[in-house]
Amino acid sequence: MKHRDALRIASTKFRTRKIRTAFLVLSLAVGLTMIAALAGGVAGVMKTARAIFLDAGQGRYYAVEVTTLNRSENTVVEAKKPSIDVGSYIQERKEQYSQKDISVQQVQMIMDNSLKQTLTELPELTTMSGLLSFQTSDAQFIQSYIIDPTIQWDTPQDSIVPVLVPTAALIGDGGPDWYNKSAKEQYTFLQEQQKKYLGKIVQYHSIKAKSESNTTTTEVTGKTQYKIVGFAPEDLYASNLYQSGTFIVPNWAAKNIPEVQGLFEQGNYRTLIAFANKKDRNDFIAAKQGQQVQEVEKRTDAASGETLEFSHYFMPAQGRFDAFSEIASQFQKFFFGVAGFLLAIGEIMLLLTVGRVVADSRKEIGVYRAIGASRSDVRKIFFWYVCVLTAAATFIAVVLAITGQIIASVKWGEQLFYGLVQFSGNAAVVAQPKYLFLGTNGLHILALFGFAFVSALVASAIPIFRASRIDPIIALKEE
Amino acid sequence: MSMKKELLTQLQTELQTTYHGDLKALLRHIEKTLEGKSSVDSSKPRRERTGDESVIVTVSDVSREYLFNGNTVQALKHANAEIRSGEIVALVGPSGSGKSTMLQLIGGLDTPSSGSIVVDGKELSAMKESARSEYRNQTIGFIFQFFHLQPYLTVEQNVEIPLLFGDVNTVERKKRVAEALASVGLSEYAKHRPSQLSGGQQQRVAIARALVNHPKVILADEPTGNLDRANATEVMKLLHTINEERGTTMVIVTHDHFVADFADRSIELIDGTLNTHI
Repeated sequence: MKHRDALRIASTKFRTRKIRTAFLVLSLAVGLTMIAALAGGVAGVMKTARAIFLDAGQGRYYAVEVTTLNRSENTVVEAKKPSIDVGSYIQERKEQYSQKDISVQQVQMIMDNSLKQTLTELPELTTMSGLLSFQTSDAQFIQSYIIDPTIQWDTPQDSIVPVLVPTAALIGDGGPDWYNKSAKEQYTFLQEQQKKYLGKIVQYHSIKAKSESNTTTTEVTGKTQYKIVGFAPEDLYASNLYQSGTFIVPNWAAKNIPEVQGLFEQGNYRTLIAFANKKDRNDFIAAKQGQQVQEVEKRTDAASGETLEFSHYFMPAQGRFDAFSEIASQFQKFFFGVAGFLLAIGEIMLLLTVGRVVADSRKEIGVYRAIGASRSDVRKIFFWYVCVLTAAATFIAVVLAITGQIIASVKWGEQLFYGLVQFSGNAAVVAQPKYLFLGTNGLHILALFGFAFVSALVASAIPIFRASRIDPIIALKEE
Repeated sequence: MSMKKELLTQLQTELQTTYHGDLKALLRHIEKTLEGKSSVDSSKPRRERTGDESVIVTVSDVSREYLFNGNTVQALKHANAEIRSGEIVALVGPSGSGKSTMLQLIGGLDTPSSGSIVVDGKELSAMKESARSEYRNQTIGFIFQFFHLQPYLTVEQNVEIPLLFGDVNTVERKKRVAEALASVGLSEYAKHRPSQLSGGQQQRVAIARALVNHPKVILADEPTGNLDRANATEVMKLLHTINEERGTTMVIVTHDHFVADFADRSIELIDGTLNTHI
């Protein structure tokens, strides 16, 4: 018997025995739906979480190097915050507020609030009085935060310097009760801020003063225009100390743009170095940890003749990426455990379904054998019948799984999304997906069909083999 | 008086066990017996023989035993029989006498415990399973008491099934199905499902299915057992016509003497033993 004829008989049997077939198909579909829904839902959430936490260049790299410039004492820069190390700053705050057990997080909040206070005193970002510092970076580190697709970050230009504004600066616009806002309010606000500031052109003003009794203030307006092309996450760099007043510019700006170069002499600048893996980064940091100044590099400024000292201060990389990686790893283990359990249920349902199919078909098999079917012919017919059943069940499972994912997204998606972005600090740059849990794609569907068919054939191998060996005499006697 | 009472009791028993309450059939049998035309008569075949017919089925010293609950049951004991090409032979006997076993052995559905069966020159006991499947497909046509049509297939699809197992091409299949349905008078019911047909029509579909591969031998196990008298007559007349037109050998298992009367001759089985030999 040809396979196409066996398929024809199997398809006809499938189409015409409606109630029994529906029962078999649905019982099979239940197991497959659970697998598909879970896999797709997890994929959907992970896709968004990855966009939130990892797609930024930051997420891929494990170290940051902070280089500070120590000015000679006779020059005072009117910076809104001093250049100090974290440990000293925390110690100072503890003494100031007489709180012996103050936590780093609480200090962080106090610092953030004071920075926000500072930012609210600034005019709109059309002018940048009191700009605290620049940070420079190559595109590889911050590419994902760049929203404007037309800019070329690494290509030097004469008059326009692309800039990333830290999200902390946008938060400052939101007022002092930022942390009292819900996750949704925070996200909505930051998305509106993004629309408000993206594409804005700003010009830099600097104020230089001397710390002697006679203070002379000189305001300098730079020629370069800075275009806001994206927003860096709240904790792009290890320390939140300087973020809100920091603009991130390309590395070439430090060389080509005089005022940027000049600003490097006035405040702090940082560059980013990357490690291929977490171990190398941790080893590097451990070697430097606790050393406020590990190296001192001296350079002479050609213009002023001043001796400049560069000190290197190493800080641990941000914790959120590590935290997310750990959460993702644990979740993955949990997911595989649940998936394995559901796979086992799916297999059992397949076995029962196929067993039922064969048991119900004993008389039919007896007749086929009596009128000349070989054992191979019987196996072909039931092989194709199992295939047709499985295809129908898998199709139903895919439809049910996608429907379930959409319903779950409508019901819980928003809540989860806002929580994730709040945790990430990337609310300004991450777009909200329409259906958070809708992760089933073409590859998943193919994989589900593949799993279903392989499982069906494995589960049906023994029943079909036994079916072909049914004694036709006994089968014919069964009524 | 007691003799009459005994005779009456015998007749009542015969009426119930052999004729299933069909008084007319019993009376017909009595009439033929009185006229010397017993249906269980091996020496007088119904159709005239030319004497040239070859033996198509040879049963030689065949026994069949089964193990049942630790006991050995002998379904057939040293049976010997020959059936000539073109004959209609009725296998008669009470229930459990081994008639269906004999049919299954001739049809290659079962193998004898001892002895040999040769059909159309093929020794069945020497055949492998795949060869016996092919033998059942090409040489034999089966007709069952309960029709055994597939309810999910149409009439023409049911008739087509043996051709699918025989790997017959599509054009030839269509032609043979049409011929088979025409020969049983059901061409206009080709697209119907079995549930839409009467019992007699369903059995005719089963006959068409049995004929579609042009078998040498048709084996019918109680073909009228599930039919009323009118339909039974239709079916037996049809089989008779097919036999006349095609010369197909037929072996019909029945415990109904009405059916046996359509046969050329009968072979009686009692407790696994053939009572009549040719």
